[in-house]
Amino acid sequence: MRPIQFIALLSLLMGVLVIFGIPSERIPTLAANPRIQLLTDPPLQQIRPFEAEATSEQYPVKFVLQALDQQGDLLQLARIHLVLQTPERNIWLPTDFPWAEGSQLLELEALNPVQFEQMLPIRGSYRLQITVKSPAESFQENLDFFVTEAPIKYVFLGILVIVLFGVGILGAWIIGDPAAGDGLSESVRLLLSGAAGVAIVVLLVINFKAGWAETHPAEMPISPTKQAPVMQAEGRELSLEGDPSAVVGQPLALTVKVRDLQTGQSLPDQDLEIRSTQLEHGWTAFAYQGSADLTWQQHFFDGAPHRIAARIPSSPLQVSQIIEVEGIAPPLSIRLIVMSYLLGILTLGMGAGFWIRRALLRSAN
Amino acid sequence: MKAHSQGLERRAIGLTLSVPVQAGLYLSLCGLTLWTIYFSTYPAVHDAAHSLRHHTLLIGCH
Repeated sequence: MRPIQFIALLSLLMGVLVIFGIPSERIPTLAANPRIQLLTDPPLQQIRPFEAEATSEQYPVKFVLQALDQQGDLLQLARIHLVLQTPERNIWLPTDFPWAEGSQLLELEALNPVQFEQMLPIRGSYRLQITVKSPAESFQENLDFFVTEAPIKYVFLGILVIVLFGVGILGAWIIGDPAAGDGLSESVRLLLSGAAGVAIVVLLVINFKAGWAETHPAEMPISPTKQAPVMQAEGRELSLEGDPSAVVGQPLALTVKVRDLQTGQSLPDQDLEIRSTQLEHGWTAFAYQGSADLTWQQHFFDGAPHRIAARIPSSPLQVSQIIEVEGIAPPLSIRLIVMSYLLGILTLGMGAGFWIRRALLRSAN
Repeated sequence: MKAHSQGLERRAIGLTLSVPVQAGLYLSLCGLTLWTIYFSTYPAVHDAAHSLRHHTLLIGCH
């Protein structure tokens, strides 16, 4: 076979693969297989991460997960177990919630279909690990989606870089001035240097003391475990169980139970609404609407008190629990890495300032 | 003796006011100010700079 014929045959084969091969992977023509359908509000491309201290109101992303059978109908009597994993940690490019990176944001198991809302704290690639179990079918599927960073953060970083570079140039310009001593007496310059030294020592002491307090927290009296909130009405009991305290970076297991007061049996068919609200600013961290047959683990990524409220619609049954969430400072390694970036920009600015000063002196001579 | 101590004093002053030492002082002061604003766990500073930290890319908070 001549080379030209070989290339033509290869091109033809690749064309066949492109036309028939790739679309069959991308488009789930798996009419014969059960599958998961994910719907989000806003659409996946428009999701932005949570903006802390925002001036505008922040809303969680609404997820609807449906397990469908071979015909595309809702899979009956199926339970969906989902784990929402946050983007992996990149120590060189951290986010504003470092403890949320590479963690399990939510684990939930409920009856098909599952509808919930979740605030997504950081940018990057999230993964939904879904396991469906029903009498007819059991399967597993991973769904990945990407959340783009809020543009305002790039603006703030840009401003910081410009300011640091400018401060560096200005400092070097003044320090590198050979006639700097002419304007100020030597004693005044020494006094300014001494003041700078004192300021450095004060800042060092403040930061070391803050760091010491962080690594050696004052011993707090352990409060007795609060009783789980329970409410009884109309022959039913609604209870919310879970630890009333949480730590950023660690998931907290919570359970809601509805039971019949006469028989003592649980009532998983009851409709249930759950809402987890951050109390300092009033935004919703997590919400669920569906059947009462539910267990979940929630990662509180913001170190502030939250209220978990559960209620059965069209009934007086509602309970709530305040969760104290202990915030943790970002890892020191991450802070030091980003600090080195900032110092690098400042040093570059100073280098530029000295260079400009020398170039001007040379041209003047 | 007096001349010797005056010489030492002159050298110390010269060293303090030299470009490398002044540049080092400037860099240290700016660096510590940056650390305090963006990374310090000191509660008063943390609360005051909380919004700024969360709105600046790469800066981590609680």
